[in-house]
Amino acid sequence: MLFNSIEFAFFLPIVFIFYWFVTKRNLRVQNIFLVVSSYIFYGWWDWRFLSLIIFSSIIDFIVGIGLSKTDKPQKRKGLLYISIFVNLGFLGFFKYFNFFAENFSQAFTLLGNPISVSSLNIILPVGISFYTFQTLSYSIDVYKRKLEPTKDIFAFFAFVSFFPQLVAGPIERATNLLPQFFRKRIFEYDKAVDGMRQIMWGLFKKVVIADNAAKYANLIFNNSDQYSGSTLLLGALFFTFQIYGDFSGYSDIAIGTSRLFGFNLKRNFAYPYFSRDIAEFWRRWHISLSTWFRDYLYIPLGGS
Amino acid sequence: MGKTKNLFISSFDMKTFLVKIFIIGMAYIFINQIYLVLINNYSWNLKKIVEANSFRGKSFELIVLGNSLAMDGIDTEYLTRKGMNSYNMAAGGLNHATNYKQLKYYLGNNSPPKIVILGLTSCRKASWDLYPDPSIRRLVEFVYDGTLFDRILMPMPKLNMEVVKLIKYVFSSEHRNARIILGQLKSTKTKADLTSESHTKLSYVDYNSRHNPEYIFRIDSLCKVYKTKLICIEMPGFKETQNADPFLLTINGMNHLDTIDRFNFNNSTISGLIESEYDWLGDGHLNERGAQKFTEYLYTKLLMNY
Repeated sequence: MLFNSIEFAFFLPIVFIFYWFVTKRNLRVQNIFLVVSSYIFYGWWDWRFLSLIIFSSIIDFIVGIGLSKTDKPQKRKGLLYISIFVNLGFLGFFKYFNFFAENFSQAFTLLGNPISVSSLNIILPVGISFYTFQTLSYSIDVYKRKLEPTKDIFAFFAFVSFFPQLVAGPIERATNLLPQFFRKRIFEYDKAVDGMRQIMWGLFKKVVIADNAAKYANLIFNNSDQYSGSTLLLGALFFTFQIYGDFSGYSDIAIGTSRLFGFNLKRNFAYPYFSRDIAEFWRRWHISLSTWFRDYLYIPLGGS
Repeated sequence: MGKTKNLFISSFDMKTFLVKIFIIGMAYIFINQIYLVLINNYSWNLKKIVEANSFRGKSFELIVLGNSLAMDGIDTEYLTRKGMNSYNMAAGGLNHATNYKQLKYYLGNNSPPKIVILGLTSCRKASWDLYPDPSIRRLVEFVYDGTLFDRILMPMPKLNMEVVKLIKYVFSSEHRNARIILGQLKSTKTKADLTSESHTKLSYVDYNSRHNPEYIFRIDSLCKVYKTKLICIEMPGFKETQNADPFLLTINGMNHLDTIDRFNFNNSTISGLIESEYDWLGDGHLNERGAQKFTEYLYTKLLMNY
């Protein structure tokens, strides 16, 4: 289900009404309701891939429980490896199998030993990177004892599949999002209005800016041989607006939608095009992804 | 927030929020409906697409498909006077995939015409609607497939480009005075063709990169089912787009199109017919006077023989 679709325009008010009126005063019921809603949201695109997200959630939930029950370093490391292997295994298979297969084939052909590597007709599950990184952050944080593992399976499943940020981020850290599933959520008027404003702004970025910029960017790039350098530059400018409007618009809708349900997600874009250099740009573009890599990859590998 | 303490929902806050959302939602729907009414009355594109969509049991002898060049340039009133009961279904920005959809719908609800003319734009003309795009144009999709939900909530998001027509209507008396007759847009506006002739001979017309031959082929297949004759014509354009190719148009690499009758009305002979000072309304589009001249030429040179 896309945020700018008719289905979502029905889905969101229905979930909102049920969430606040039908499930009121019971945190557990609210969490269960969020899991069910998120699975409907995700399964709307292709219900078969629900099995992946459920499997990932089960593995990481069990790994978390396992980590809480042992202090033996070897066993803890083994459990973490299971989580990493399963999550990155799925991600690698669905996202990169064909990429590597085709590149190996081309590389061997270039070296004079052509090999035939058959590529599979693999459909990429929507949002697999986002929920993989999110659920991995839980296992790693629990392993590093930064976070107490949860024993509430519904809260954990809701954390992994939380529909506002499931398919396009922001990638939330378990340390920020998971505790919010254990706090009583109170409807706050100001927060809800703020959320609605952010949803509207996100829709404007997506529907008005990105979709219209895409029209011209596609025209120019699809006929690149027929246009002058200055027109191609204009095409690049349109693409600049398109990609920012698309991505940050989705993030805004995700953050705004979460606020309607009493959750706070982290900011994902901080005016990246106003950066003074590339390094600053990457600090302000898709912040949740770049900080994820910084904290879980770059620093553990020796960066500072 | 004080009175909401320890409560899951403050009924006051929630009520205020829902009332505001309701008011904003109603305002949004109201603005969209006003917009729909305005473009329904003042956008030629929407008007004629709605008209073509409403036809039931019609028996036109000739139907014109294409984009704005065909909408402006083929005088169906003239052809009707000559005994060929005709309607111009072409509209601004329509691609061949959309033309195919229009024709399929028309044939499903009306008697098949004897002839379908598909107006092609010169492959030298750069325009945003000229690339092999298989998607159906929003306007046609909205009118032909739009749900009630679309009509209530989506006029502005989906038909935002029509606002240009409204602006033209407000600021230009020539646009206000233009009329749609049998689907053709008749405008007396005049803009001289100040471009220069290149008349370079192309060994072929490369419609592959500028049009969508797959959909020309589909239109032809559909015509064959209904025993209708498809004629593709390259529409006249400003001098810079004219060519020195033969009258019989060759479409590169699309052998399966060889069975389709296709003619070039954009070669050097057309400049002898169309007066560059008086017959254009702008950017390769014929005005009322130019369209009548061209249609007369089209009729005597081609259509009379069918």
